[in-house]
Amino acid sequence: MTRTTVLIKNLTRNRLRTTLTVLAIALPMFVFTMARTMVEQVHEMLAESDLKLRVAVHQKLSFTSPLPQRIREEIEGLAPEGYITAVCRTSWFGGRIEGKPAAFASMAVDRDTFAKVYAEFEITPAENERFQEERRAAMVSPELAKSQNWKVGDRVTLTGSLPPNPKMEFVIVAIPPKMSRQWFYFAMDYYDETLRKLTGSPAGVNNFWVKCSSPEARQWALTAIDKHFASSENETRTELESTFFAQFMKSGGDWVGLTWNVGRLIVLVAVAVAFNTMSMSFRERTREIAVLRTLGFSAGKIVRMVLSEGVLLGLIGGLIAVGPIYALTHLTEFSIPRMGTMQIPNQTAAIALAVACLCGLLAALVPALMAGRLKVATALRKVV
Amino acid sequence: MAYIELQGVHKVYRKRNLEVPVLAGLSISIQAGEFVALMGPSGSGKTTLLNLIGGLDSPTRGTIRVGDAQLEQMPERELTAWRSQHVGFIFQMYHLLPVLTAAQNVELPLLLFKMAASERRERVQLALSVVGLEDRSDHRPSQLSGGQEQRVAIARALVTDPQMLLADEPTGDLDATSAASVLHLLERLNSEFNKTIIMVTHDPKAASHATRQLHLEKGELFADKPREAAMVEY
Amino acid sequence: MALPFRYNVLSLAARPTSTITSTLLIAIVIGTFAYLQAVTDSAFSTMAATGDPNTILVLSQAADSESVSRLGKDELNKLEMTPGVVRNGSGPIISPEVVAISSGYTKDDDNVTVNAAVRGVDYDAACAVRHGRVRILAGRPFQPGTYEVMVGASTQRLFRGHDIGDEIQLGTRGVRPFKVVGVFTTDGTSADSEIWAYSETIRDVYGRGSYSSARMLVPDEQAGRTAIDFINGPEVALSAKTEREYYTTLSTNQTVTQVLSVIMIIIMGTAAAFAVANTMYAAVAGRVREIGMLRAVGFGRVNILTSFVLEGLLLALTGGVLGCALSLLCDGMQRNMLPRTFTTVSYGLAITPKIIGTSLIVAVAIGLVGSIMPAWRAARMSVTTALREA
Repeated sequence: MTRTTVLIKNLTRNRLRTTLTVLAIALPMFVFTMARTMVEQVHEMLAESDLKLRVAVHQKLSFTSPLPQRIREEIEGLAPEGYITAVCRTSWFGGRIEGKPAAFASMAVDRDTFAKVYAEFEITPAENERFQEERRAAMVSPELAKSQNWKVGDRVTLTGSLPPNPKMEFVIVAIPPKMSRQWFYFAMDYYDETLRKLTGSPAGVNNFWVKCSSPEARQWALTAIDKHFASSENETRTELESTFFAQFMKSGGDWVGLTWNVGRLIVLVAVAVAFNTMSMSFRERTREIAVLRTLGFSAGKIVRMVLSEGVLLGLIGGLIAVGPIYALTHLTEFSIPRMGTMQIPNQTAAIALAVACLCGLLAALVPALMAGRLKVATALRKVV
Repeated sequence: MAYIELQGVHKVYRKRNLEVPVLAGLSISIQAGEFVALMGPSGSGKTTLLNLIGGLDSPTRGTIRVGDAQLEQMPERELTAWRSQHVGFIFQMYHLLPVLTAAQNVELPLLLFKMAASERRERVQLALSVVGLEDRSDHRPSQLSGGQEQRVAIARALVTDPQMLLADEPTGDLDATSAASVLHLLERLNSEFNKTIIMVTHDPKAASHATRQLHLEKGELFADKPREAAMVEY
Repeated sequence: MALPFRYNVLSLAARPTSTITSTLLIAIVIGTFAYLQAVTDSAFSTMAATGDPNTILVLSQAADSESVSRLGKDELNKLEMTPGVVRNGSGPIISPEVVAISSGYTKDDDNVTVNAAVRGVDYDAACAVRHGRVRILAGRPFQPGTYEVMVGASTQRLFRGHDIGDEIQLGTRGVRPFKVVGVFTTDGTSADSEIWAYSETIRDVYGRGSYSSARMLVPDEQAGRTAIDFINGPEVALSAKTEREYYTTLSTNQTVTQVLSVIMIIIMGTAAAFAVANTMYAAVAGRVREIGMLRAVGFGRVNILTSFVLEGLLLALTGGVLGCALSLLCDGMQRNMLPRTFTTVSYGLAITPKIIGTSLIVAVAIGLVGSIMPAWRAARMSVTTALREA
């Protein structure tokens, strides 16, 4: 037997209470873990997008106001030799399937530069070749293909959600495994041609995604492009990809942030639950603690014992909160609607466990100090 | 030189603004190897005296020496360490930890020493065999009778091999048979193992097992008789 | 004969630490729940309030929002024939409007851009179809044909540099400076998050040949149906809805927070119920002898059960009330949402009686779930063991 044995035995004293407490700690810690994972995922996504050295060039006031297509050539001509790897134009299409109300993320992109600018999709040369050859070619993410039950070679008809709401037919030529979320990409020239036929005017461009060759080149792009177009009739704003995406989160009510705030707040619930339990069990064990003191256990040892009990309680709660979901997300493809696949990062798991232990520690603080200050002679006399 | 020496010991408790004197200038000396019964009506200060000798409480005035230790001068921390080596406590309500087995309860005080697990086990077995409960080592307190629980508590007090055992009404909650066996055990510990024992009791029959009887009344020594004299009286 | 309620109050007071801890814990849970409810409900009610059931909104056929709808002059002319709508001397009261987007930085964060809807209107017509809900808070309305705007109260609060006298930039194909001359409110509808200017000027600077939408007034629902059927029919072939219907569908992205708050309350409510159970089990264990006495005196099992359940409910309800009081602190707080139009809409959180009601019901549920098992244990105890124990 060691002191740890005594500690664990103490927790088994009132099994029902320990179980309830541990679960009541685990539940908020679970929310904490999930919330932090979501925040991490968003941050990681933003940080990763900056590693891709892309900047977005769009109309000065809003990307929803389209710019003419020729701006691409101007940007390309502007850059010093070797600064720009490629420029890919994107136009929002917002296609929907006949009879289904929800539009999904679909865009017209430049055929020639798409694979280069979106290198992270790891489009194979064979896939890219098919994208060049087929006029109505479309590439879709595996997630979208799965949800719509699409295969390579399928023909798909979508209606755009912007005026004049063209109805277009596409052929799926590739489902690149690395393409993320629910994206659908097709060729800009096909879109342009369709619009010209319908309205007589060309397709406008929402964003010019400029892939730079180095951080210095990106720094150049961030200022030089806007300077060039200043006080022309097509004034632009160039921003980091992360800045561009962050606006949707911030102005959209920021529910990831909201979850994270709530997730942090309810750690207090774990502390309160643990404190309630620790103070109740301390009160019930006052005399036992006094006996331990007579046996020669010093005040310091008793304090440490009570604190360890709190930490242990928190740790078990933390393990229950983090363990199963950690295993689940690491061993299987676990996905949440709107968030995509998720995996609890090791760091988040460690932080959640540490926070759970800290909750236990905080909760045990007052009872531990009371136990340490116990007047042995009085406590022995007291009838509990 | 006496093993325990109390000189002019006063103990005053404060209750709100009221001062309640419990011990009023007590001077006692006890030799090593004595078995002392501490008697007196309730409120006479028996338990207080026991707690002072055991270093659980400190006197308001006066000096207490046990062996080489001058208790009134020792800070709390030293007293705790001293207790773990020199004193074994036995309580009326046994005070075993309900979650631990008999053997684990006995082992508890040994956790304070640097000691190999095997040595601890030996000592626990020895202590349990002294109290005659080696076959109950894996039982929990709730699976033992009151007499057995008290014997486990005695084994716990013994296991560190202290010179002195302090017992507060050890038979107060036991039936006659169990009480007798506990008292015989204490007697044996005194005669065979030469433990100094101080036992608080108000049962004259229990006190008759001691070699000396101290009677307290209102915090003062009222009578001090060797066993023979006491035997005559009853 | 029931046990007096006073007995429960005193019992709770006798265990102050665990009573206070449990109360605070429930308060946190309920307060958070009320807050999350306010986030969803207020977003929804802002959108719903924007939509007037007696205003008909006309969009182009496949358009699901004003931002992607285009109405030409011819189509507007066809609307003149709409039956059932409110008219004045020269024809139906109709407000053709053009909706574009502007962006700017928020007041408190340099790096966050937010978008506002820019609405080009004829001021009098726009006010008329909004039942006079438009009120000028400061300054004056824009003059037709000038580069002047008036900003919604929420826009002024959220955006940097949108106060009276400031210049803001609007337009595509060459950005133009516009002068802010007034601040208006529509009493908490989403128009408070917009910027209004003269319709022809906005069409010009945004290069729009067409309008986005048209609004018309109807006297009642019946007339509204007639008008909508006419517009959706073959003669006009546009898409018409009541404004309320339109704005309610726009706010659908609030389901995320709705689902979120339900999941949260289930998880946290369970945790809180467990805490109540712990407290109540301890209360029962600490009062075994008392229970034995009460039973011996003649109180029945049902009395004991009710008494402990009541005690748990009292605990939870105190926490619930405290939580609701805490949530009132965030009453009036501003939040943003991004409906399908890509323009930010600010809204104030409102802790409504409905939210307080739901929150208290959840608190009662927590108390009930947490105390029923301990109360059952107390009631089940046999009198003799109860008296013997402890």
